[in-house]
Amino acid sequence: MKSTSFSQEAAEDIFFGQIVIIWARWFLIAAGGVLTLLATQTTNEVMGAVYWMGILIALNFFIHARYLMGKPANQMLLAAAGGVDVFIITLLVWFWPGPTGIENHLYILYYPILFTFALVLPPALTVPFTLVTLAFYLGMCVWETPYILFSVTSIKVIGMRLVSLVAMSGLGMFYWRIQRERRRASARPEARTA
Amino acid sequence: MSHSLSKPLAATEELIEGQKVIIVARWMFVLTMLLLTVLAPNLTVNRLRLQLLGTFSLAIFNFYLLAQLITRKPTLQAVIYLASLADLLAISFGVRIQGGFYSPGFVFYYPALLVISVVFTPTMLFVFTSSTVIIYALLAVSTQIWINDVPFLILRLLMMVAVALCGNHFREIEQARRRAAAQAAEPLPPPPAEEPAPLSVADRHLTRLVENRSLP
Repeated sequence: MKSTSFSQEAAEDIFFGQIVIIWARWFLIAAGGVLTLLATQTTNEVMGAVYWMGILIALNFFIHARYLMGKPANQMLLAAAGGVDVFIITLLVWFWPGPTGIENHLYILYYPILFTFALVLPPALTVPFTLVTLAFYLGMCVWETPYILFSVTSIKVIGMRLVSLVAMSGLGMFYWRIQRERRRASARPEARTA
Repeated sequence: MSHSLSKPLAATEELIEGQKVIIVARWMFVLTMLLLTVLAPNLTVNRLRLQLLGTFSLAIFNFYLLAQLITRKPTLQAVIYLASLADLLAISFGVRIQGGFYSPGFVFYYPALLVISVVFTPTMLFVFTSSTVIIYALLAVSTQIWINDVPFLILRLLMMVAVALCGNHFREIEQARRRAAAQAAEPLPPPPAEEPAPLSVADRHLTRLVENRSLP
C-alpha cells in the first residue's frame, strides 16, 4: 500500500514538474537563437546551428505538446531528453567556432538543464546524470586543452565551474527532498493539527 | 495547514522552510572560496586579505543563521533578504576584482539565483534577479569587452533569467500540490442534520388517534 502511494507520488513529481524542464529547454533554444543571430560568421556556421536547434525544437515541441494534451512524458523519456540536451551542449562546447575546451563560453548552458533535472527527477537518476555531465565536460576540456592539467589558474577555473555545476544539481535535489517532506506532512491530518 | 493561511503568512512559511537551502548554498560558496584561495592564491596581498575578510564574514553570518535554524528561533524576513543581498554583492565584488566579464567567478551567480528563486516570492525574485542581471551587465561592460564576446554576455544573462524563472515556477507548482494534499487530507464535515418534514393533515389525525388510544 505504502509502496503504491510512493510510486504514485514519484509519478506525480514527473507529471507536475516536467514543465520546468520544458521551459529550461526553451531557454536553451533561445540561447541558440542568440548565438545564431549574433555569433556566427559564415553560412556553414548558421546551418550547423540550425541543425542542433532543429533537433531541440522538435524534441521540446513533442514533449510540450504531450504535456498540454494531458499526456506528459514518462521518467525514461525525460531522462533521455536530458541526455540529448547534455550531448548537444557538449558538442557545442567542443565544436563551436572560436576558442574551444576550457576557453569556450558555452558551458553555461549546462546550468539550467542540470538544475531543472534535479528538481523533477529522483536523486537516483540525478546523481548519475550529473556525474556523466561533469565527466563529459571535463573530458572534453582535457582533450581539447590538455595544458589545463599543468596550470594552477586553469585548474582553479575548471574547479569553480565544476563546483558550481555540482551546486546546481545538489541544491536542486535538496529542495526536491524538502518539498517531498513538506507535502507528506501536509497530507497527514494528525501532523497538521498537532 | 498552508492552504488556510493567508498569502503573506504562507510566503513567510516558505521563506523560513527555504532558509535551509540558502544556508547550505552559502556554506558551499564559503568552502569553495576558501579552498580556491588556499590552493591557488593568484591575487595581490591586499585583495587576498579583502577576499578572506569577505569570506569569513559570510561564514560567521551563516553560522548565526544556522544556529537560529537549529534552535528553531525565527529569523526576521529582512535578515534573510539582507543575507541574500550580501551574497550577491560578495559575488559581484569577486567578479569586479577578477576582471569583470573575464572573471571566472560569475558562475556563482547561478547557485545564488537558484536558492533565491525557490525561496522568495515572485516580487522579491524579480527585484533580486533584475538587480543581479543589471549589476553583472554593468560590471562586464565596464571591462574592455571584445565585440565578439557580447553574444556570450547575453547568453550568461539569459541563463540567469532561466534559472530564476524555472526555480520560481517549480516553487509555485509545489505550493499548489501541497495545498491540494492538505485539502485531500482534511476530514469531511458532518452532513447537516435534516429537519423532519411537516406532517400532512391525515398524518396529524392518525398521530392524534394513536396518542389517544390507551395501551392494554
